[in-house]
Amino acid sequence: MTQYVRRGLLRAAGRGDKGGEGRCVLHLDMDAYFASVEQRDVPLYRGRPLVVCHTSSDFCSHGVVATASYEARRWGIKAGMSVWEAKSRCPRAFFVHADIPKYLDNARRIRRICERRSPFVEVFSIDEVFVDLAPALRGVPPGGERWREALRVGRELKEEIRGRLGLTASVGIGPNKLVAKMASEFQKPDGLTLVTPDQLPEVLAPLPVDRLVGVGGRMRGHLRAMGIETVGDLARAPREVLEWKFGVVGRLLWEAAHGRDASPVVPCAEAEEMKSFGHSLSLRGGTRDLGYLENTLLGLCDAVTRRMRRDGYLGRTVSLRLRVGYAMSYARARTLEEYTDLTSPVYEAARELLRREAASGLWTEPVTTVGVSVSQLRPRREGRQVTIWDYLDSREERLTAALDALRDRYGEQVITRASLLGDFALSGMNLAR
Amino acid sequence: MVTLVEEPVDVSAVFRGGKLRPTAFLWRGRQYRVRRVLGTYRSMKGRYLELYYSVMSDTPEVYELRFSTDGMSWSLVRVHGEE
Repeated sequence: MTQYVRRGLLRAAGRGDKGGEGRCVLHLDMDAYFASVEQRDVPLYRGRPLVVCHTSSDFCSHGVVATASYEARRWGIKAGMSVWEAKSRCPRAFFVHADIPKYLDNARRIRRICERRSPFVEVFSIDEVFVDLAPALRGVPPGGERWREALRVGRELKEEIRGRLGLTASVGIGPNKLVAKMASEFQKPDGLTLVTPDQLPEVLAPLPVDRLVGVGGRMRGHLRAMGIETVGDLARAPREVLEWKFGVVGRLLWEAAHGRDASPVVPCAEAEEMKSFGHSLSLRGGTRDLGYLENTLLGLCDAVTRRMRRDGYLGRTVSLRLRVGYAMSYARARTLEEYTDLTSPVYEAARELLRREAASGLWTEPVTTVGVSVSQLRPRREGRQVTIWDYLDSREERLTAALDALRDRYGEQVITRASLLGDFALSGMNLAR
Repeated sequence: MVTLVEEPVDVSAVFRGGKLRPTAFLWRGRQYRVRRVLGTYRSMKGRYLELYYSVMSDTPEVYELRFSTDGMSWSLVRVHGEE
C-alpha cells in the first residue's frame, strides 16, 4: 500500500479530520512532463518520438528512460526502461538528457498557478500536485453546483498552465485524494475528469485492481490468488479476511476499494519532518565488481550526507539496499554508536554491509541497483554528543565544512573526489537536491 | 540530436519589463539573430543565479544559451538539431 495512504490516515486521525464528506480535491498530473517540456522548447521534437534519459553518457548511450513522449510510448518505450532497450525499440527516436533544474523551475511555476486558487497545495512529485479546492468553492452550495464549479476551476487551471507554460495537464476531481488521483488517470493526455461520491461505485467497481493507487505487481498477484481481479471484487471481499491476510494494509486496501481516503492535502510548509535520506543508482547491465560497487557507494554516501547537512539532520541507522539481477532486492541495516552527518562513518557502515553481502554467496547474478539511506534522524539543532575522538581528530568535520562552503558558493560540481571522476555514473543524478 | 557545446559566446540582450532577453549572439565567427525565445528557466549554481534560454534563429536548430551572474557571462550550452 502506498506510503501516502498510510501516512494520510495517520495525519487525518491526528487532526480529527472526518475526510470525504463535503471535500473537493483536485489532482493535477502533467502529461509526459519531462518530454513535454523538451518538445515545447525544441520544435524539432514535436510530434516525434522523444526519450528523456537519466544518463552520464554524452550521447545517451546508456542509463534509464526518465520519460518518453506519447509518440515514443507507441513503440512500447516507458519510464524505467534501459536506454539500450528503448533504442532497440525505436532507433529513430530522439534521445536527450534529463534537465532536472529546468523541470523543477517549471514545477515551481505550476505550483504558483495552483496556489492562486487555494493555499492548500501539496506537491506530490515533480509533476503532480493535489489542491484542496475548499477555499475556491467557498460560498458555493453543496451538490451539483459545487461540482460544476470545481470543474470550472479545473478547466481554468489547465488553460492557465497551457497559456503561460505551453504544457498540458490531466486533472482529476473527486471527494478525496485517492479518487482525484485515479480520476486524473482516466483521460490522458489533457483530460479533465470529475468523479462525484454518487458515481464512485459504478466508476470504481469494473476497474482492474491494480488501478488502485498502491497496488503493484506483487500485491496484484496475491489478490488474484484470492480470486480478486477488480476493484469491485476487492470491495465485496470481507474486510476481516483482508486484514487477516495483509494486516493494516488489508484494511487500507478495502477502504480504498470503496473510494474512501481521509488523508488531508498537506501544503509544503506543513509537511512532516524527514524520516530518512537516501539515494540509489541503477547500474547498467549490473556488476559483480566489488571495487566498483564500493566506489558507487561512496558517491551515494557523499550525496546523502550532503543533503543531511544542508537540511540540518543527524542520523544513526545506515541501510544498504541491493538489487541482484532483476528479481531479488533486499536491504541490510546497521545502527551506529553515534549520530552523524559525515560521509566516513556512513560509508564505513555501508561498505561493511556490502562486503558481508558480497561474501554471503547470495549474488547469483550481477548487482543491478545499489542504494544507501540513513534513518533514525534527529535535527542537528538538538546537538550531537561530542566524543573524545572529536577532540583528537576533527579533520573530517573541518574538511567537510570547507567543502560544503565551496559547494554552497559555486555549486555541487565544483569539487569532487578523484575516485568519482571518470566512468562513475552519478553525474546523471541531481545529488544535492 | 543534441550537441554539447559549452563555449563562451558574445550576446546582445535587452532588459525589458524586468526580464532579460537575448536578441543576437556571435558563435564561431557567425552572428545569429534570435527570432524566437521558446522557453526560459532559472537555476541556482551555488550562490549564483543562472538563466537559460532556448532560442531559434534563422536556422532550424534550437540553441540553448546560459547567462550566469558568476562573472556576468554568456555561454552556448548545447544545440538541438536534426543530425
